[in-house]
Amino acid sequence: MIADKAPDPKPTKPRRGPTTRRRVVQAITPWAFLALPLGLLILLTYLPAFNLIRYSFTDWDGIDPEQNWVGLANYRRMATDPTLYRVLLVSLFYLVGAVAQIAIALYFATILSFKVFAKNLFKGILFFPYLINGVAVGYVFLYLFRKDGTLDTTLAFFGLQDPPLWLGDPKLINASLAGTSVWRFTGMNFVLFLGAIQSIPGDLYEAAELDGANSWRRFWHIILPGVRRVVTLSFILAISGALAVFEIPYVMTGGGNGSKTFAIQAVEMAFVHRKVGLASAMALVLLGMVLAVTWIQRRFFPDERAELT
Amino acid sequence: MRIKMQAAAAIGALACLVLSGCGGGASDSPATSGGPSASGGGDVAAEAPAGELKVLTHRTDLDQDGTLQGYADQFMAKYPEVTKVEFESITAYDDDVPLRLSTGDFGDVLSIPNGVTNDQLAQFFEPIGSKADLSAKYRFLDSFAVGEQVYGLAQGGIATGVVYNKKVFADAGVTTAPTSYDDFLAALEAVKANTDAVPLYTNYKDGWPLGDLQRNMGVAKGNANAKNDMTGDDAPWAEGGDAYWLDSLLYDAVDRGLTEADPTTTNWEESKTLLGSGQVATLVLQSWAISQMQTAAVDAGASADDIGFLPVPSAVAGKSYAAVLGDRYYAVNAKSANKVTAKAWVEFMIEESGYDAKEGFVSTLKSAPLPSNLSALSDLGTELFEPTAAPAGEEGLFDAIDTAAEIGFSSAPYRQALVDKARQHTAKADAFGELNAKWAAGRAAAG
Repeated sequence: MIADKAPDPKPTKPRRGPTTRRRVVQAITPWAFLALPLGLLILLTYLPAFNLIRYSFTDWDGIDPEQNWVGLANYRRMATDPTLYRVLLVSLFYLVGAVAQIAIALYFATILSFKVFAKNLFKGILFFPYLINGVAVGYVFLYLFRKDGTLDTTLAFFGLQDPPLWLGDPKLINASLAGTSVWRFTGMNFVLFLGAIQSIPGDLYEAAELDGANSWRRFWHIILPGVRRVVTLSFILAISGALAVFEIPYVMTGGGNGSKTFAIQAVEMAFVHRKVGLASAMALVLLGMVLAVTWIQRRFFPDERAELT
Repeated sequence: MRIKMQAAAAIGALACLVLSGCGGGASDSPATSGGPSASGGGDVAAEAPAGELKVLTHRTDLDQDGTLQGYADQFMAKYPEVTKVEFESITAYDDDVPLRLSTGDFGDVLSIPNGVTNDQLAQFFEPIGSKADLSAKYRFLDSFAVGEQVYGLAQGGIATGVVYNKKVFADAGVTTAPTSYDDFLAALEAVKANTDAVPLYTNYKDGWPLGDLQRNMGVAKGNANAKNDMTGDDAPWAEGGDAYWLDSLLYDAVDRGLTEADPTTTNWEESKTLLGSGQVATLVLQSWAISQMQTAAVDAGASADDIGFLPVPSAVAGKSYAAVLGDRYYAVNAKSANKVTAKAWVEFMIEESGYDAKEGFVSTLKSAPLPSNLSALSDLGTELFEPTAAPAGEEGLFDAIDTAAEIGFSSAPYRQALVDKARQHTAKADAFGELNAKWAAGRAAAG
């Protein structure tokens, strides 16, 4: 603006000044609004993520001000030490659970999108567990699964004596924990599916009915294609969730008795063995696995537009 | 174009503001607090305690019920120049405080959190004095000492042992206190055969009582030097070794079915009631637990006299031992601006507050007598000893080997894994052999 001042004759200045200023203000305004959220995003997400990457190349113990650069040693260890990736097998339980969870959610979403008695009550009941804090869920199920706990008493009421130790038996513990996870997250899938189903135009059902399609055919040819994208999304979330499962097993068992997952192992590595560098590398490898699985899934099941008309 | 650049500059400036606001603050505080501390350190002798003090504590319970404020009032009555003592009590103390150490923002006085290794002490804490000077007056100087320099003073001491329910032992037909390893396991077998009580409760789920078992290192054979010996041994879990006896008690008890049926759903708070009411016979804990168990027994409608204390089962015929250890340690922040007052607070808490007596601790003061809750040990002729410190230059060696070996000698997951193996009846030799292999690899990497 100072540069403009000299050559310009006096009368033009009040005319050009405000417009330039307005254009500057207009250009800055969106960025000014964005600055705070972007600043926070950088500060709280990208900066720590960048640090995580940096730690993964060091032998930092989480306390020492000194961090020694060790190059790829942490990643080499990840690739060569079977004890570090054997825990991924535990994720298979959660993956099976997640598939069951999607099936259950789809089933109820379909039923409850039609005229049913006390529809909203059932919707509420199904969604409710998702609203409960994960730590609370963990403690509730701890009391459910313990010896002579709620589950055992209920089974005894129906005449089933001598139930197994739901968490104490190393063969059962992961199934019990995956069951807890299904109970908690079915509500979220259910709501997603319900929303998608309700966005399907109602005249399609009428037309199908006129054509004499039974309810199974209506589900297979109208509802399933209609919610296909949401189902695909749910599967991606399910796989990444199963790989990164942490909260429920950590709260309920702390990773004991064979329930250790990859994420729990990373936390243990960082805070018990004080190998923050290796733990950071584990976290990044986990991120890489989730990205890879998502990419593979998108390659094999491309996102086709659902054609309903 | 120009406008775009101006906009970009504006964003840059704003981003800088946002970022530097925090970044600057973080880098700023150690510098400013470093300044006065440098001068404060020089005038230690000249100054009297004054000003404000901030204390980080793990005792959330005592902070909330006002006990700590009571000590603060006494302290300020003694030193009228002190204007304020502020407490910050932290629930997940050993998780949160280590992360704050490198920032310098951890009060003037703190309880040393678990996880700090001895070779890191000098970075964070102010030396309190030399071992030679302090040893005339204080016990438990070794744990947080590097060479001659002492960085932590114990808040009180505890003795290793087993809390048990006398009534359950009597019902099971155990009449003499079992002090030897075989007698103790036989007593547990008797409890299993003759009563409904759980012979030994592991507290597997909460985990930390399992981690604390490491305090029994060397106790079975009365070896005060056990942890130091371990740094020179490639097979500490070999039969007859100190680590072997330490972990055998847990392993054998679980393997023989003498522990609770479902370890994954144990509960610490509940375990107190279970012991008090006679549903559990024994818990391997230290003497700090006695008073809590007695309270729980009374709450459960039984008598405080039902709770007894035994030494850790001994591997030496006719003898029994107990290690006496500092519980938590006070340390002074090396970056504190008020070190004189901080040190005065530490001395006051140890010598005058009465905190140790209230908690049933062995006093850090050598002149104070043993607490009454340890009379059972004296009656049994148990020999007390203080574990020896690591030799000069090897202060961090044990932790370094432990970290490199990824065992986690004082951690819960390590002994939870042992319990898992024992429950599946893996041969003890195999489970311990694996530990020996890890330890040897750790020694090779860190030694």
